[in-house]
Amino acid sequence: MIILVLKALGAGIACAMCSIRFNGRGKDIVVAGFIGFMAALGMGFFEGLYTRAFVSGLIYSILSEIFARIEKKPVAVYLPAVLVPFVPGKLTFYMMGEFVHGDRLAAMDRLSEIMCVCGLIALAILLTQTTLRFLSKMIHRPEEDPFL
Amino acid sequence: MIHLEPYETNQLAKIVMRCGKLLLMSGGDIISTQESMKRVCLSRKGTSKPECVLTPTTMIFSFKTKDQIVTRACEITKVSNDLVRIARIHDFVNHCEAMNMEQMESALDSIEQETTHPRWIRILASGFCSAGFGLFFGDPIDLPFIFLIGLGAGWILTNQGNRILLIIAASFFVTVCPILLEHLVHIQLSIETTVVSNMPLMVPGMVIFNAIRDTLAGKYQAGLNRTAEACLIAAAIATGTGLALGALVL
Repeated sequence: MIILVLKALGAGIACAMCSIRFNGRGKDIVVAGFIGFMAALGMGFFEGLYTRAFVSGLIYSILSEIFARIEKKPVAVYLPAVLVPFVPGKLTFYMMGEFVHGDRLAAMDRLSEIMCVCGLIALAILLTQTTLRFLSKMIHRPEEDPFL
Repeated sequence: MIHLEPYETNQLAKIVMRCGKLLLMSGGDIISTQESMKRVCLSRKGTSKPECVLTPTTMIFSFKTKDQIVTRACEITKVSNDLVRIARIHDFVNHCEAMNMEQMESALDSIEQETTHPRWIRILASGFCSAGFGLFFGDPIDLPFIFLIGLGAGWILTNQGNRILLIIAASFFVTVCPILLEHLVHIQLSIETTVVSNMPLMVPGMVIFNAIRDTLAGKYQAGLNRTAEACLIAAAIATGTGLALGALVL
């Protein structure tokens, strides 16, 4: 558990610093760090590369939407900075190592893993945004039903 | 329909284009930019039917007044990541109905004059970012070296120059440094974790986010455009790493 919290803290620091690199200011930096911390903590409870990618994607996209509504800012202020630690940079390095050593099959295998992880991140963001848009329409729907 | 004078129409067109251009140049996605431009246009009485065709590098906008159809086109040449500007433009769009044209222009002037963090802060943030990744990937022992390599990569990436070449140079640097540190200076490092901790500095977070958002919103041209940019950056990272690994193998 302590190791998990330390890793989550590392992710939080990384997300906060990414927010600074993207010219974030003040509270946005702290919020980005918090979202990164929670996403890394949440994904630590799951096994498997793809499950962890999907779960972390759900957590940070939901939290980004929540904080965007609380702070009355666009979700683009939080999500790009928080996305960075969870994009598969490690797999890219392994893929290049395998290409350089001539093992093309293994490199293509890694590439397909990278594509799957990126696809699951996109799926998590899509699910979150679609659900929130649907809920938003349900809450704001007019009193009268025009089809009655 | 209320009649707008020609100078008011021109002023409004200029404000709308400035708003859209600032959003796209700050790394905003296509859907948000389109909605913002339409909203700013419709905030003035006397305008109707705003139409917007956007790609990450071009803007075409037209709207109708009582007497004419106004069309403007613009090219976007430089894109950066600026979250503060995106937040301020979002705020501007939400309050534009309560402003007159002069107030809107001066609000946009003040947004344009917003400066980024100084270079040394961005370099320091890169170092701490790499250290954070080192902790995330479970290598607290090598944190000082990861931090220093991160500072170097941050210095390379914050230079003025071709973005792709800078990314290739930075990924070459972060791959070659830990290997040289171990073999020449005999410092015991986890090479893999050190390299991997510095790799995310080059990951185009905003481009990927906008590519996903634009594609899912049905703006396939813009989405493909941004996906191609993200793939090009990923290839640049892989090229720098590959060159370093290849050079060391030779």
